[in-house]
Amino acid sequence: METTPTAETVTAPQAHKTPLINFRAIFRVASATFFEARRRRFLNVILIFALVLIGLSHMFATLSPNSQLSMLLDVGLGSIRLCGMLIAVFLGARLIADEVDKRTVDVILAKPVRRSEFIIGKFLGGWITVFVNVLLMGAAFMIVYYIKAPQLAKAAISTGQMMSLAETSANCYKAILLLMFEMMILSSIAIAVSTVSSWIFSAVFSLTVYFAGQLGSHFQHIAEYKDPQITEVVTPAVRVFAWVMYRVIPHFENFDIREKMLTHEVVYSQMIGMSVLHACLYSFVMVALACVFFSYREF
Amino acid sequence: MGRREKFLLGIISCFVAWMALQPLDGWIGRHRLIYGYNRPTPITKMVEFRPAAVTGVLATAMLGSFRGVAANILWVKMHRLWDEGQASDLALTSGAEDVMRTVTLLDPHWLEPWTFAGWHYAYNLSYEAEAIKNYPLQGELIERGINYLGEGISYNAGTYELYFELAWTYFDKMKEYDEAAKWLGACLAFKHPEYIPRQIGHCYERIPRIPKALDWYDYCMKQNPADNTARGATITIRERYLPAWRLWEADKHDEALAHLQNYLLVDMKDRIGLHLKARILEDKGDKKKALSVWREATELSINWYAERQVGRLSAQLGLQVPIDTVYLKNGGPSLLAPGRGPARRPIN
Repeated sequence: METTPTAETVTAPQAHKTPLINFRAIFRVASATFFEARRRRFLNVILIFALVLIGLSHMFATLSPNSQLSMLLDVGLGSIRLCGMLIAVFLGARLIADEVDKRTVDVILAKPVRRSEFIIGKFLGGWITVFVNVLLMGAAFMIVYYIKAPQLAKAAISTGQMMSLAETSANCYKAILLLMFEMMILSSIAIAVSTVSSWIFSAVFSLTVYFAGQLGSHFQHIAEYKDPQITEVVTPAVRVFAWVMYRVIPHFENFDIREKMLTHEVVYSQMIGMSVLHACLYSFVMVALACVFFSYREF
Repeated sequence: MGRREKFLLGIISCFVAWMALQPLDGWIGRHRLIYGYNRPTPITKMVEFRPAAVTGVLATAMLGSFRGVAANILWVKMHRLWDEGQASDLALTSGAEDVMRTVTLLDPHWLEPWTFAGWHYAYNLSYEAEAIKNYPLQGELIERGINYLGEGISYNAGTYELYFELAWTYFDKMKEYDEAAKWLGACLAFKHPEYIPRQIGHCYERIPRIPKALDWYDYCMKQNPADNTARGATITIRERYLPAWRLWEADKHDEALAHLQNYLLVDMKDRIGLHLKARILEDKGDKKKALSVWREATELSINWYAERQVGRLSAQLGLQVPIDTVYLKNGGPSLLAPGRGPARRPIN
């Protein structure tokens, strides 16, 4: 028997209070992104390639008999950086583009998820994926390092070279940590660009920025130093271009501690902290930019 | 606020946030340079190089930490050029030079390319120039080898190897014993092999500066009482040259020369004896005789040290300086300074 609604049983619909930032929505998008990324075949291929390269890194050491440990570090950490970069760029570039192409973004945005929350969630999910991949590659490298480095260090010390394996080991961990944050910047750039362009353009652009970012000190030198040798060769237009490049492009070389690793010196935590802070702030700006672009975009 | 205004506000906010990043960025860049995380950019040096070397450096610098691997691959290429004879042919060296330069810029902490480049210029290529009697080029090539080693030291100042290589080039190739002793002395600040102090003794005995040589051999024997080379050198020097040196110190030139002559009659080709004799004669004021003794010393074997002294004394006496010693073996005006004699002390 149906009861007719009365004034007591019917209440006026309450206004839905949405928080300033819905962390729950961000977490859900991030976790979905992470689990979805695990199923992407190209990521697994890159990861396997990296693990093989790292596993064989000690074989490259024979290329330079007098600096085998340096070679092991170069190849091992270089492999992590190269593969980490590929993962960060291609994953970052496709995260948004795939959702838009498959129209799944409409379904997500139809739910109580803001566009900015969607972007932040995607970025965090993508970065956690890169983080886990770099962690796996780093673990593989450290295993190879702990097996091979004592032998190589012993051989180097017997030829009169000075080195501290303890410092080098600590520097390896620091280098891997810095790599994770370097990839964070790269992911954020790829995501920001992919909100306004195709994923292919975003990937190419991010790769270009990454390589140009290794030349930050070169751009600075051309732009700022009044070296007579430079001023004779470099025109004012080139100088302005170099200044813009130096100011705009992130300085990925700031995450490279190879110099200290090769000279077996301490890498101070203050420098690590500042680089990490810089990575976080730069990524924040890029993600904010991505949010602005994505909010303006029409589907 | 409309959608367009929101968009503009967002862009402006991002720009402000990015501007706020700049001081931190500057701090990191400055401190990385100060504390040696970044080496100074080689742009200034690259301006001097050929485009091939510059392109190589820029292209591989972009690879970040893969620079070391790139340097290794280029070094393999250098070996190939060497095997094909392109590295030692003066007409074909530019390709090999570019590769060497690129490798040293890509991985300046790798010692082998510095050592190799220094040796290659100072020995192999300079010999090629000497064979065609192009002495200015020979001098230039040796100087280039020395400069390579000096630049290598600036990147690897904390290890003895390149100091030793530079010292050896001065000692063995230039016969510039004062410079060699200086750079060998620099090796002692770091972990070094046992032969380094002994080599300093060898430098001083050839100048000759007998008491200093004895001091260094004495140091070697204190470090390792079983050092028979130092022991043998000490016995030889004390027997042959020390008496003459002591007499010279006492300004008894004739007695010193007579004592030395006794030994030179036994071994007329003794290099150290001839060097000491020439020094005593010069100090005595008999520069012509000193010149003839230095000339005698040049005929023993390749002895650029003696040839430089011939050039120096010839110039002082107003004689013609041998043309082949002008560029290389005189080593420029700085090396024309007279050799230092013993410290005078009062005779009781």
